[in-house]
Parts: sequence; structure tokens; C-alpha cells
Amino acid sequence: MAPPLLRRRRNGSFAWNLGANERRVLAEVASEFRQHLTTESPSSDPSLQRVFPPAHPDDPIAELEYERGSGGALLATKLEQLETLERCIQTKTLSEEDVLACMRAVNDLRLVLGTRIDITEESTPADFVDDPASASTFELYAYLSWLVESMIDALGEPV
Amino acid sequence: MSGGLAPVEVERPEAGEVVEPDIPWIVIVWNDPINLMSYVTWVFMKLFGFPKAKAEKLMMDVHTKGRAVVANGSKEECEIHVSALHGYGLWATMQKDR
Repeated sequence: MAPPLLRRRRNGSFAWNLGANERRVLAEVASEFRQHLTTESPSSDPSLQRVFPPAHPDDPIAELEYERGSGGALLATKLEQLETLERCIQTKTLSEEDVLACMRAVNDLRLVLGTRIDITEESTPADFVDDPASASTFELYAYLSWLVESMIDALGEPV
Repeated sequence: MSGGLAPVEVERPEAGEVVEPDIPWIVIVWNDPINLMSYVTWVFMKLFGFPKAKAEKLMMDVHTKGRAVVANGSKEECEIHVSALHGYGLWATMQKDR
């Protein structure tokens, strides 16, 4: 039987067993997302709106204040966790902090991909058979969902 | 009735001085088709320290009713919660609890 994708060791670190192909796919999608985050904004690209939702959707003035107060902190957080994912793709041992950052980064990738193909709670592969590009995005999305599940399982209940 | 107690002086607000009640804020998490149920439950436990049963109930409220109030407090406290939830990719907003 193949070793689990991610497993907590006795010393608290995590053993991370990505296959070569998984590493390649993750590196590619992470780098594409980095490009996206640095060149686009939620107003120019709707797929980023789910990554940066407004805190005050019904109050534009409060929203402006909130955005000014946070000073782009959310974008900085997203870029930082993406950087951790890109670094961790190449390693076999992760700290708990690494796993947390990677899980958040992978979830951001799911938000962007899922929004792009207009995913619903009932979506199945059959919905995308007529469009090869969406079909492969859905496949990637499903893989990333499994990755998040594996990370939650390996982390266990938060303390 | 035996006396001895001096009348208590009650401080009254000056006429025209309106005391705005401190309206608390609430943090709402909205349903979305992308975030996994297990992930949302995990995030609620992690960020708010909820026991699993409470986190699962809130997650199910989000899932079936479309939204759930997950925290309340001052504006500043709620902003911290909202930005933490956004860091995890949850769809969170805040508003006055009127």
C-alpha cells in the first residue's frame, strides 16, 4: 500500500509524500496563481472576487475604511502562504505551520478554479464533458479538494 | 422606618446629551459551493476554539440556511475575525446587529 500523502510523525513534524507528477502539477498551478495575484485584481478578474470578498458588501464607505485599515494585508498573507506552498512542494518534511499555510494556499487555488468553471455543490465530471478545458480544470479542482481533505485528516482536530 | 441613609444622588445626563448605545457587530459566514464542509468545520474550531459539535452545527447552518452568525463584539473585534476568516478563504462579512 502506498504511504499516506501526509502523516504526522511522533516528533510533531509531517511526512509529505508527493509524487513527481503531483509536484509538477502543483508547481504549475501555484505559479499561475502567483502571476494572477500580482497582475490582476478582483475588479479586473471575477475569479479573484471569492479570494478577496468584501467585509461590508452593503456599505461602500465602511468597506473603503476597512480596506484602507488592512492596507493590503490579505494580499500579503495570500502571497506568503503561496510562497510556503511553492517551497514545500519540493520538500518531504513539513512543520505544522507549513501544513496550515499550504492548506490555505491550496484552498485559495480551489476558490479560483471553482469560480472559473462556475462550480456548484452538485457539479460532477459529466457537466464538463463537452468542454475539455473545463473538464481538466474540474479534474485539477477535485484533486485539490482531496489534498485539502488529506491535510485536515493529517492535522487532526485543532487544539 | 429608621433613617440614617443619606439620599443617593443620581447622576442624570444633561438635557440634549444623547448617549449612543454601543451597538455590537456580528460576523456572518455565507454558504458557497467551494469550501468543503470538513474544512469549514475545522476553521471554526481553529479560529474560535469551538468544540467540534458546535463548529459542525454552525457549518450545517451555513450549508442549509445559507448563512450563520459565528461571532459578535466590537467593530474592531469583528474586523479581526473577518480578516482571519478571509485568510482561510471563507466568505465572511460583518454588520451592525440591529
